Amino acid sequence: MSNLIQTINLTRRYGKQIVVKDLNLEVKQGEVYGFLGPNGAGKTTTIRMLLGLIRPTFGEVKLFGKPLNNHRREVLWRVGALVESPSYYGHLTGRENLEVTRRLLGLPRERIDEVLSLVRLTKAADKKVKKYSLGMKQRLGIASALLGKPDLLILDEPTNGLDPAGIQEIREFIMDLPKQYGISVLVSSHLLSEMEQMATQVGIIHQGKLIFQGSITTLQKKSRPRIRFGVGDPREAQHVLQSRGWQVSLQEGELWIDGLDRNATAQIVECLVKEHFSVYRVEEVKPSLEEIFLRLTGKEESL
Amino acid sequence: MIRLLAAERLKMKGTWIPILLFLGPIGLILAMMVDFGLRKEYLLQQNTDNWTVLIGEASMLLPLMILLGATLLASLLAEMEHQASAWKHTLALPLSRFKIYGSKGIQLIGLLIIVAILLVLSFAFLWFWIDLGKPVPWDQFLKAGFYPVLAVLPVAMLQLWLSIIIRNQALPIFIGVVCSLFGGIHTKWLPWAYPINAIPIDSLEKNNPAFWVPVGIGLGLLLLILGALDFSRREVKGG
Ligand SMILES: Nc1ncnc2c1ncn2[C@@H]1O[C@H](COP(=O)(O)OP(=O)(O)OP(=O)(O)O)[C@@H](O)[C@H]1O
Ligand SMILES: [Mg+2]
Repeated sequence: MSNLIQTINLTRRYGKQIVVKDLNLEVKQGEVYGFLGPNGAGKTTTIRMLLGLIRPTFGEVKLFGKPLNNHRREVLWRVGALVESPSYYGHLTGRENLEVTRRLLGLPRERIDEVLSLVRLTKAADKKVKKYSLGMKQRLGIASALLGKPDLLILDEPTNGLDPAGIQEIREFIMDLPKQYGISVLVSSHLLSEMEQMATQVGIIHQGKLIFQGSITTLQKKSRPRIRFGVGDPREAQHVLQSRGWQVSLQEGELWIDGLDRNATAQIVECLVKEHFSVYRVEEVKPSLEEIFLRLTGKEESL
Repeated sequence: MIRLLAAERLKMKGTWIPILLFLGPIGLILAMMVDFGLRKEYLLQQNTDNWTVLIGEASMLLPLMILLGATLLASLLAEMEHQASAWKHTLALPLSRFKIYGSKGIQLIGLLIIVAILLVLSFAFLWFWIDLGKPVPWDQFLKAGFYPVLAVLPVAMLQLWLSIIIRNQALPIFIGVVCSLFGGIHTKWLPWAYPINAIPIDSLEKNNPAFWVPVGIGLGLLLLILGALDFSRREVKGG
């Protein structure tokens, strides 16, 4: 199966600043692809290029295997999108907003009620959208993206500004899309934890560059666990270990050492015991996804 | 294109646009009622026919009103999209950008034609209210309503383009108002002079609607097409 989204050395400059650099994204059928990056990483810029709203400075976008630049309208029939904050005519009702898009695309009337119930806005459909909560506006935007029965949904930070309940609701909704409706999704976010439950694949972008692409489990394997030692007199123990060449950090009264294998761990325990420190705990600590994310994106900055 | 226009029509629902259409013609009626109410005898004693007197008085107001009306309508049609952050949504749909812009232009032309019809009715109303006698010059009402409105098309299309490419509407409206006030004073050739050039009145020197109305329509359509071409190749970086 070919890629639904493929970008080839996608690059974009704003003035002198290179905002997106040599991006090679691959999003396959049936995936929820989490497109992650801190603020200003270039997520929205990339998404705008995926939709043909702005042009790449270099490189190209292929959707459904076809170059976007000369098949724009053909491929966009299969794509639904929500870019940054939702678009809505505040003076119209939710239903009328969908009707505007329905008319533009010449879709059957029934679609409106279908998408309204999909995002559970049926009750609020005849209220003016300016009276909607942010979560409702966000859901209306998703409804509008689903109107044309897309095969691919591109959502730019759909949970931005929502409360935890709202985030959870949208997250569950997105997770169901591939299985229930056969819709693949690219969803951007600046929180890895948010992706943990819903994304099957992630791409991490930092300062315009893709620094990781793969499954979440691969991402977790990439980072070595740390070992935590609970010892009596940790300060003194740290000195002793450091004098023997170990990189030891002291946090909240406990010693932390990065990337030890079994042998090394045993050596350290042995050393501590011989020096008459009481060792009451040795524990392997896997970094949380958030720590991995911060470490990945933090390292880049120090280069 | 029909679909796009149907969407345009729905978007106007509940906005100021329909009210604004009536504002100009009502303003004209009120001004003329006051004018003729106060000095009907004096006005009608000039040795021209009654229609020439009416259109002569109206021509003090009509061109400026049409220019400002076109500026405001263009701005409202664009502001609706800016405020909705709708461009990034609409332009990511599988639609021709040329047609998206074109439908805005046609919508604006449609609204101006409604204004023209209201002006025709206003002249008829004034004729009977002031009691200017027979024969009733229906053909003149038609010309007086439609000619200056058709001649405003170049300015309308220019304002539409400005209002769409500039987010903050203060600037295009400022440009529109300043040009409406001063753009037609020194020359007949700038588009801001076309509405007055196109008023069907014999006493105004060298007034030649037969020339200026086709020029207005032609240049208006040309500017609509140029605007649509420019719009098609623009990037959508913001809303
Ligand atoms: N129209 C523009 N002109 C100039 N620079 C821009 C423009 N749009 C974005 N940028 C710059 O490009 C960089 C990437 O912006 P982008 O909006 O793509 O980031 P993002 O990953 O979507 O961030 P966020 O999480 O804040 O939405 C930023 O440094 C931003 O300042
Ligand atoms: Mg963004």
